[in-house]
Amino acid sequence: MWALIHHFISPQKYFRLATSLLPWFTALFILLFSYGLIDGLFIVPADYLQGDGFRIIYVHAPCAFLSLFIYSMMALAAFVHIVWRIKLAPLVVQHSATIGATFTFLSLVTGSLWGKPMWGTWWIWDARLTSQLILFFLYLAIIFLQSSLAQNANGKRALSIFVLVGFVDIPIIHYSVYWWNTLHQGASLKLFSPSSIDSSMIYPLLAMIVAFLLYYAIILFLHMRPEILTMMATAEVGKERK
Amino acid sequence: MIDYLKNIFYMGGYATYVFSAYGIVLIALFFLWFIPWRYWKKNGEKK
Repeated sequence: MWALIHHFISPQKYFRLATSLLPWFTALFILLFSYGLIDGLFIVPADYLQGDGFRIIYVHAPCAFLSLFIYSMMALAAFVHIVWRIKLAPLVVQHSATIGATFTFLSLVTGSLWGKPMWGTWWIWDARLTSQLILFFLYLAIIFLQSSLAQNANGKRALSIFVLVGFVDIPIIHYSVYWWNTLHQGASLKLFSPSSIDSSMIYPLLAMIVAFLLYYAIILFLHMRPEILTMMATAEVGKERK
Repeated sequence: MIDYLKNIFYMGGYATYVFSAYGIVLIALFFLWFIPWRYWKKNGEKK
């Protein structure tokens, strides 16, 4: 079983699979992103309370979702690296950190742009906003630690442990709106109960979330591609020497 | 037609916030794609 898993997540297999999926993912991303953008910005009706200002949700919610999703992926890769020492795992942690930091920053900025007209302030030390800011600092810490720690195997393992410890912030961000009285609204989309957003507004939001997930997969591969090639070339040289 | 466009770009008075949010996200998405793509075009394809 483990041999099979190792076989499928080897750099060569991943590179071949990702290269063949790249044009399909890109086409699907363009399609969903265009639909979400045009529908969300110009077609869906204005909110009864927030007017057209609510349209920021179509970029804010996917950015916020992706900031949590990417950190979860990093924690999973860190766990895989510590337990099974899969070669691709540290690369996923390394390159996801920059992408995750960007989306966390975007969620904070777009949230601020939404907060000003709705709450009357750019920023408030609310539980959701503060825990999201901590996530941004966590991403920055990982980016800075990479250059000093991740030069050898022990350093990479230490970084993976740091990523796993930081994962504690993810449930705090998600449940902050339920655990504390916050100015930030609760989740608009729920998995196991009817969502609080009208169906005419939900489809572009779902399209944007899927488009952003595809975008993450595309960008992660583009960032990792040169290093995977180097990894494959080194493995080839090693084989020839043997 | 002009009134329709005016309404769209006025966004009920929220245009500055809405278009700034979309603009920042679009710029960030572009650069997140462009930087590795340019690196690949310069160095990666030779490998």
